[in-house]
Amino acid sequence: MTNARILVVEDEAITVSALKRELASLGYEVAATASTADEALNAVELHKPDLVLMDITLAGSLNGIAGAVAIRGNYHVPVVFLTAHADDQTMEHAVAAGAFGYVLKPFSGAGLKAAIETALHKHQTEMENRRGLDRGYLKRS
Amino acid sequence: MKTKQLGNSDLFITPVRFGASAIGSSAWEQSAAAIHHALELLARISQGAVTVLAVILVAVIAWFDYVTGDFSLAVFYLVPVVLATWYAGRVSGWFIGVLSAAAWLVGDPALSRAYGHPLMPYWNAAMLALTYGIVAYLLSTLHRLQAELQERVDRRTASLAEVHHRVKNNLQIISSLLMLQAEKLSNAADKAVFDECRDRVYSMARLHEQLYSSGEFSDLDFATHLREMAEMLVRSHTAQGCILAVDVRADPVAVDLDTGVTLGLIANELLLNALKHGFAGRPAGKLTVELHGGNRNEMIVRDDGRGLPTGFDATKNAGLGVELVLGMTRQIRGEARIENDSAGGTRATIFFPSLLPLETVKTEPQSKPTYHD
Repeated sequence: MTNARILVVEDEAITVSALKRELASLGYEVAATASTADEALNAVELHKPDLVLMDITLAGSLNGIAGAVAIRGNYHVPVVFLTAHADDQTMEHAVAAGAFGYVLKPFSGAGLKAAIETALHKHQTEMENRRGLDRGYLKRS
Repeated sequence: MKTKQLGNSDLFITPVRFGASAIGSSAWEQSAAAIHHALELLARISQGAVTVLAVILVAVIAWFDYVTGDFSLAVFYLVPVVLATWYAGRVSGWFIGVLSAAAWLVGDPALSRAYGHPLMPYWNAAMLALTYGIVAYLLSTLHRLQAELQERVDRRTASLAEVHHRVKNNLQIISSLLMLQAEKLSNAADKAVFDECRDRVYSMARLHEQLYSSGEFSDLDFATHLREMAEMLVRSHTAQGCILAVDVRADPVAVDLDTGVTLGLIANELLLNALKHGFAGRPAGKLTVELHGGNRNEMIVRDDGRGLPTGFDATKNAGLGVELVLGMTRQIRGEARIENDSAGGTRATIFFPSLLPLETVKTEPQSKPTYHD
């Protein structure tokens, strides 16, 4: 799904710049950028992105995992983590937060694209299943 | 080999492996596992419950002491003393020690007999109580020290993990900077140089990742890294229009971080070299990557391309990639051979020493690289 609109949540300015260019070269649109999870929540509300690419270690009251839980719970937008962490515990937390995938730093274009496309596809399937269930429920009632 | 970190409550007893030829080794293992399991259970129950269990154990030993008559079972009272001290604390250990001495006094049939002095059995019981008390004191001190040591190890491990995290973040920044700088260039060849630099950074980062994920922080299996790197480079650098067959045969080979980083960069250069020069303008090709362990490890990168140009001399007219390969191979006390393969194409072989204790490695003579046209 090219042209997908992506919200980048990362507190390292240089990495944000590189991500914006890499995502553009892969055919995605960067809807907005945020440097904290709180900012990310506002940006999701405002820009309604198709996907959030989120760093785990963020300054502020919420880290990336807590931010992802809030985004997924309130806005049903898929979140892909971008992280230098790859230990079992962090991954368990990421999965529990409903992550649709993760990209390890330093990222490569191919890795980024694979994770984003998988997450978008998975999210689309999930939404279709949900709509199907809703229709079934309405017919029965 | 992965090692298990001992918890504070692991006491000294951990399952011990004996040789396969030992008689009843499986029975031994089962017993050791059962004891280990029981100790884990003890660590989970409350201190009060442990003390109650120790009291029951003292009563059982006292009963045996009584029925066995003159046979001294004083040493067996150490079991409840040790358990109470380790799992319920020093005070509980002292209490069980005094109780054990009293039980020994009551259970000793000699009490009913005439001693040289009427106070002698009480003196003996007091000496036993003192001995148990000293054991409880020493053991509780050891327990405290072990807990402190464990806490330090945990703190160091956390710091080390944080350092690895910082390293990876910094490598991400370097990679990002290279990408941003490359954008300013209009020449494709210049851009490719920056891409190669990013590949090198990526290789180092993946190695840190592997080390961090393994939890060992010192040694890692280079085969995993080599496979991942070959896959990544082939995906991003295969010449357009070329159908490439890739064969990676990598045995597990342990390397330390320094060797791993250097060897990773060497592999990066060799793979890039093969991908850039071995298959250009060809509809299909084969790239073979091998890693073999032994007294002397061996890494081979082979392509079935055009081979080396006539009169090729790695030390004189080779590019930066080959120069780096030769320098880094010397750095890990290895030997590099870059030659035409008998089946056609180019074959690069890196021999490097097995992971040995640092002192042994330092005393090894440096081997010089050899080059073959």
